[in-house]
Amino acid sequence: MAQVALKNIVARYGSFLAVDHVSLTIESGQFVTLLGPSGCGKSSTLRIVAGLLQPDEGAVEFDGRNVTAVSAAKRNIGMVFQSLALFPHMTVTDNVAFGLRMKKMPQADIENQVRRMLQIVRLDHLADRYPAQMSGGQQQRVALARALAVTPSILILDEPFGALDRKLREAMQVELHALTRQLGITALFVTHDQEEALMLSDSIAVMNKGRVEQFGTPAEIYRAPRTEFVADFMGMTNFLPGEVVDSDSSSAKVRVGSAVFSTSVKDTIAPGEAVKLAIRPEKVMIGHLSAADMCFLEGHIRQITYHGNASRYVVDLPDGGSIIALQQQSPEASLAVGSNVRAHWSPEDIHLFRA
Amino acid sequence: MTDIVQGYSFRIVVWALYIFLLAPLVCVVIVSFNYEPVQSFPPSAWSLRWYGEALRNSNFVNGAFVSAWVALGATLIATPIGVMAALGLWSSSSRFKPALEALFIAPIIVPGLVTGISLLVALSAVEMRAAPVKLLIGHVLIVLPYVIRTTLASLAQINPSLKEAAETLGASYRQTLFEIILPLVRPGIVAGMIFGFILSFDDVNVSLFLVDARTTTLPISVMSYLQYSFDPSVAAISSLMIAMTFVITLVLERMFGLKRLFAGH
Repeated sequence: MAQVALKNIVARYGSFLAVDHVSLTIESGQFVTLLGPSGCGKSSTLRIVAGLLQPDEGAVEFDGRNVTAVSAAKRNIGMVFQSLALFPHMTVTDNVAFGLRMKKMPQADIENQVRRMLQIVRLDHLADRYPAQMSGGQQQRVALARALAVTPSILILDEPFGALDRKLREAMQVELHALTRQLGITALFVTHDQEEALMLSDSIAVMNKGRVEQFGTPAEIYRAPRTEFVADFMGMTNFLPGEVVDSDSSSAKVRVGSAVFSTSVKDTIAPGEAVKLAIRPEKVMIGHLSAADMCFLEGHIRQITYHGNASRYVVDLPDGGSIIALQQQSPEASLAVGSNVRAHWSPEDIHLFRA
Repeated sequence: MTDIVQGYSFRIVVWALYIFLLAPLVCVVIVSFNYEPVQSFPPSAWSLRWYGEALRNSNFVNGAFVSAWVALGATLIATPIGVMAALGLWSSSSRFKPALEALFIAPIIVPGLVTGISLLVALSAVEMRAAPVKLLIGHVLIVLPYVIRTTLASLAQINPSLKEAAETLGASYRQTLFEIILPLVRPGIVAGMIFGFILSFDDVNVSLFLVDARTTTLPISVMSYLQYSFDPSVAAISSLMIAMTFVITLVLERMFGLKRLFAGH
């Protein structure tokens, strides 16, 4: 397993800047995810690490060695493709053995390694099957075994669970998490699914328009998003426009409509500056009253939807905006569509972004 | 009710088509078993004598050998060229790709007569007089488009990620080609070879201008024979050719499934 570093990578398709000066270090044994919407440059970045795409600028380093000019075939990587790309004319054994054969490993060692890999992914009983004779989850595990068999410097996974149904997807996520930690694999994973990224990763790089917006642990990304884009992408869907009325180095007073809220800040935002307040829907409570130390806005309920483990309220505010609240309890009778309520939250749940 | 009517009328049309296509072949086969020295239908007496006559006719037998050798040689020459052309077209992202593809398929579209005359003129210009060589060149042109077309059809069904998967696993281009791509397109290549072989064996138009008195193909011997005599030995030799085509098609269907080869293209 190796440390993998991207240094100022730029990739263009014609005049379109797909990857815009991306620098990123994946420490040995770390599971790093590139997270972002489609077209954010995450797949191009992944293909550059794999050696399937040549960057226009910048360098890729494996353990400090510059491999930018090294072909994918000579980089010693293991890759799981979105379409899996299992060889349809080969059995499971032959698929897993392929990379070892290309590396000219002695036949006896190949057999041992294949057997070991198939045991790890619990497919030893299906060694002589062809891919078409297997279920989606089994094919997934063959692809994983094939990529891992060559003991790669880095395991690269390109949205491998995209085609699976929800239940199988969750099972595979759990399995991949266990497997990568157990084997201490350096892994680079690409997904547009934030839950998947949070669950699997040691670190997440959130990408937007070819750039890394934020690189940090799942908890950092989730709790302290650094930009509005990251906040939005991590499910912080309430954004209220406001204006800073007073501030010092650690706190700020922000006016939203007629209300003024105090919140802590990391760096000073000058009074008069326009900002956006972001609040996670699950942190917003709905009621007729609120405790004295809570921030609140009054409005009336426009819509209530039931989500099994939660109820979702849309509260229209007098100034035309709206706020969404996700509550664990089942809806109270007094909170019906049309009733006037207070949407309230604790000051520390406010995240401020410069507008 | 309309469904039943439509069902029946559809079936009638399909059967009419089959009869239209197959009745002449059936006639030829029946006539070939005639005893009389004229091609009368239906025959008044049955016999195998015209098969004997046909196989004793040295023009037919020599023609059959020439046809077989030319068809085999042309197929063996056209196959590597066609497969390489198809591989090139498949991995090309050139804007001339559609034009190139059309160019490679052109020998099917250009009338055989024109191909034959053009080759005659061109090969005379370079002093090429040997009929076997001329025939071989002409027949490579007959086989080539079929090999390219069926190989391209098979390539189109390959997931492009397979190439990249092989690459990430350390395979060179050569290894990817021989271990992954060629095994997957083999059915398409074989189908193209067999179609090409049959059409080459059967060709009159292109060959007409390339044969000489000593080297002539079976279809052309049959044609010249027909100019002077109209006995059932021609029907016998035709029946043998039908049988050969039928057997080859059957083997092809058994081995690869013809439907699959043409599906999606």
